[in-house]
Amino acid sequence: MQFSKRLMGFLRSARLGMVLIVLLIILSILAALIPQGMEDTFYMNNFPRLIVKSILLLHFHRFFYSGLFMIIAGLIFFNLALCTYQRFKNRRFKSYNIWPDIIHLGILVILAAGFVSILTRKESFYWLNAGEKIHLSNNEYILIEKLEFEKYPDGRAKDYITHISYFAKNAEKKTIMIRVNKPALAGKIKIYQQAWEEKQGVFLENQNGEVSQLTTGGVLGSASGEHIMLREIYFPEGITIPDEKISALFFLMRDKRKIAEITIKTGEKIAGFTMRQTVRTNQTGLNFITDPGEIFVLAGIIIILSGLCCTYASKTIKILKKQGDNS
Amino acid sequence: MIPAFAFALFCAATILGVVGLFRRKPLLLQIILLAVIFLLAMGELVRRSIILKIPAMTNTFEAILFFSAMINLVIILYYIFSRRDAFLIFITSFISYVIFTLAFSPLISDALKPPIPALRSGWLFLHVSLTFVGEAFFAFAFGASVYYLVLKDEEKKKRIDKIIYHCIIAGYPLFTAGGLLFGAIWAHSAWGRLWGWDPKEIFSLVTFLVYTIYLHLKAMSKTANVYTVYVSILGFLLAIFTFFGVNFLLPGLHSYR
Repeated sequence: MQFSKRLMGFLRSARLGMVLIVLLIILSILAALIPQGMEDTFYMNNFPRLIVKSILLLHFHRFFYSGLFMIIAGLIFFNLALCTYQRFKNRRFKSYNIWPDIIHLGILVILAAGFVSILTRKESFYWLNAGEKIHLSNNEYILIEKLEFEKYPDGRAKDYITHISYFAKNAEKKTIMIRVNKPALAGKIKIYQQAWEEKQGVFLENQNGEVSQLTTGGVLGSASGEHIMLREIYFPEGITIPDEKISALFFLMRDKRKIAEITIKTGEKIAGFTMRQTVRTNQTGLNFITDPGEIFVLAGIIIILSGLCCTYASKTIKILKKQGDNS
Repeated sequence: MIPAFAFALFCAATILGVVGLFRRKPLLLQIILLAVIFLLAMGELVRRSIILKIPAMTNTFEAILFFSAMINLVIILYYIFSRRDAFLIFITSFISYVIFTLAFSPLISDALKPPIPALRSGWLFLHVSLTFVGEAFFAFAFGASVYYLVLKDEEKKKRIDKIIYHCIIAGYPLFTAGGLLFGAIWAHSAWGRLWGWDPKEIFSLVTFLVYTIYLHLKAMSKTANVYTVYVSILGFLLAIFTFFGVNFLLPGLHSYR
């Protein structure tokens, strides 16, 4: 009885809470200084052997998902829960202020919801072109209708917008717009505009009349044994650009070594190929997420915010009252 | 042009701060100059906001102007209510001056560029402004902590300890709400996750935890003690590292310049 009482006293003590926070601070700083989530070989190439061993043994390369972090977070949860409960139980004291405990409650909700989120969150990222289809479940899918790239007058990206249609069994087609900072809900899945890429390419025709497509960075072998790599396409400014004004830079390669840089226009030849057409297409990077824990984290945030506001107000009143009494 | 003029005024204010140290009383002219610098910095931010059509807090240059202006505002408010502690006002305005000077570093561009798509959000203003207002109070608490360490008079020490505490209880909720909570809500709408353990997020959390320790130490022992003062100093150094160090040394989603 005496031991369990002492144990409970220790578990809910502010001293233990502070030791755990200090431990969390030290380990978090170390984890922030070590690049997270890389392959084992990255650490082997960049750190001394002994440090690599420690990193991998303690899962420091994925610290915030490691057992060590979970244990510390779990202990903080118990310490905070017991301390808050004890404070609430002793609330008859005249000096009792409930608002810091509301903040504690919010932190507890966030910690618990964080665990739920780690266990239940599902996330998939896809690069998609206009016209492509993605099945969200057996009964629902989305179709990428249109990709829109808004630009500032100086050509820099202003917004990336993906227009999709959502189809579900026994339901009407829904048109949805997804843009940066404005995700959309398709069924139970939230879709985020996460990335964007402009792909450039050329259509090349060989001497037999066969046509191949080559995108930037791609390599194509010619009949003479040489290779050509498409480096860049130069599109002049303007909405409608005549084909003859577009040029493409190729690297001519032999035995994997660059032997020349050649720029040609539509209709001109390189290594036996004739450049027929240039293309510029956009690709959208969408993130598909379901996270049952996030609503509870948001609830925790609201609880903390209200606790902070009320603590702030009550503290200010107390200080002002004290100053009034002193004067 | 405006920041350069403000910089010249800042140099003058710092010199007046040194004069105030010898007179053991803050000079009114120094405070007036700090107020003019505050107005110039805010004016420049408003000008940039009108051009950009969103709150101008999208790069380090603008963040520095705002941060420095907020520290000046805290100094001015303190002067209005106390009219003393020349050393405290000098050290805090010197911190503000050093931060302001960094805006002219070759590493920091003052180019007026429209923001990238991810920064076009209503949360930007709440997230950045509240964080820096909170950190401005932390800066004043840091100045007061340094002052505490050089003081010998116990009565004065008690008073300065109270100032540190009041600054931290003013800055803590603003920093927590702006830096952590509104940041998490914004990350949720931009990236689909509330928290991603990005270096900036980790160091913001660490800063929050250090000030949490400070508040709990104060709750445990009501009397002034030097340990809480050291914690206050550590907290501000971490806040500064979170702002500058993470931007330039640790790559991540927040490594904007």
